[in-house]
Amino acid sequence: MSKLASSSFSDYLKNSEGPDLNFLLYLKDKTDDAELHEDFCLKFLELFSPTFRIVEGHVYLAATFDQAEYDAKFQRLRSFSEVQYWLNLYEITYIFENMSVQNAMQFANRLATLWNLRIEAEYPDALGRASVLYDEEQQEVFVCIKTEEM
Amino acid sequence: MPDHDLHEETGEDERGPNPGIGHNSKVAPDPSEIQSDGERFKKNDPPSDEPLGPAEEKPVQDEDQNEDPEKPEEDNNQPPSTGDRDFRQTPPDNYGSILGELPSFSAHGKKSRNKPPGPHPDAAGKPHKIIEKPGRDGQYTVHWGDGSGFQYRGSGKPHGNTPRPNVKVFGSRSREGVLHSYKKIREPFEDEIPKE
Repeated sequence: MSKLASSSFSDYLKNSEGPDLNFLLYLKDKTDDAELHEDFCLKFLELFSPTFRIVEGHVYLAATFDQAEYDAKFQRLRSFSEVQYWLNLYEITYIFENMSVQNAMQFANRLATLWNLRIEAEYPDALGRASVLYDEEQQEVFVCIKTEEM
Repeated sequence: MPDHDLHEETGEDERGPNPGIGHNSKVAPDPSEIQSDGERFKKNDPPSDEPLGPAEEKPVQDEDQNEDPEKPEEDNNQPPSTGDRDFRQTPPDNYGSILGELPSFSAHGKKSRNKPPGPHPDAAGKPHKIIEKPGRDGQYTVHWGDGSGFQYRGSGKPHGNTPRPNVKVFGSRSREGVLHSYKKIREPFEDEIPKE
């Protein structure tokens, strides 16, 4: 994993030879170097194209949804929108702790776009769309599936 | 904002990990033994730090042992009960009172981006609270002494479009007692918000 993090794409282009260098070869070389398990790559695919679950008309990520946590939170908050909000906060700057805020914002924006494309295609009537949240004081970047009222 | 007291209906909630204060905790703070900044906490004295729960509540160990005063001490060495989930357990009813009784330290040193301050060395591994900015709009971090804890983040200065206040929970203990670097943002419970 350290090898994967140690070489930027620009360094890769600078230090590699070949006429057809591109981001796919960068991914290949780095994943080869790091000897990543294939599950790691598949989980990235799941991140970019997740399976959603609809609960009380609201969108959740299927892989992280927990019924017991939902029930406990709903008992306190008594609001489907609020529960959805707090259960659907995904901090990009935590998942990728070494990523700059600027790149995390870029990552989050693209990720939210991808999620929304899939939500619109599969559950156009469901409540909640992916948005990017930024905590300036904490320097934290989130993707959150929430309704507009939140 | 929602009514944060509804969890009292069941005595359960979805707080983050707090393995230092559960009924089976091995690190539940004894206020008579905790020393902070030269000040000794005594069991019957009110906490010097502003309590987050009702002032008349008894110290945590008395509360914990009310149901079964003859409970053997070795029970406290068992891993915290986690129920059906790795990172959830039922907090004691006097959670807020415990927060108020924890010895407090001022924040020191520079923390890295996106991370709460680490445990204060003067706490010697015991549960404690680090006041980063005082008050309801401020910020504090609680360390339970085993690597887990949470950071309360009040309104503070302009912070973008994330909801405040909120709580960042860090550390979780699996059923086998293994600590993971789990983090999650959640809404604060009423007794975690400084009265100010």
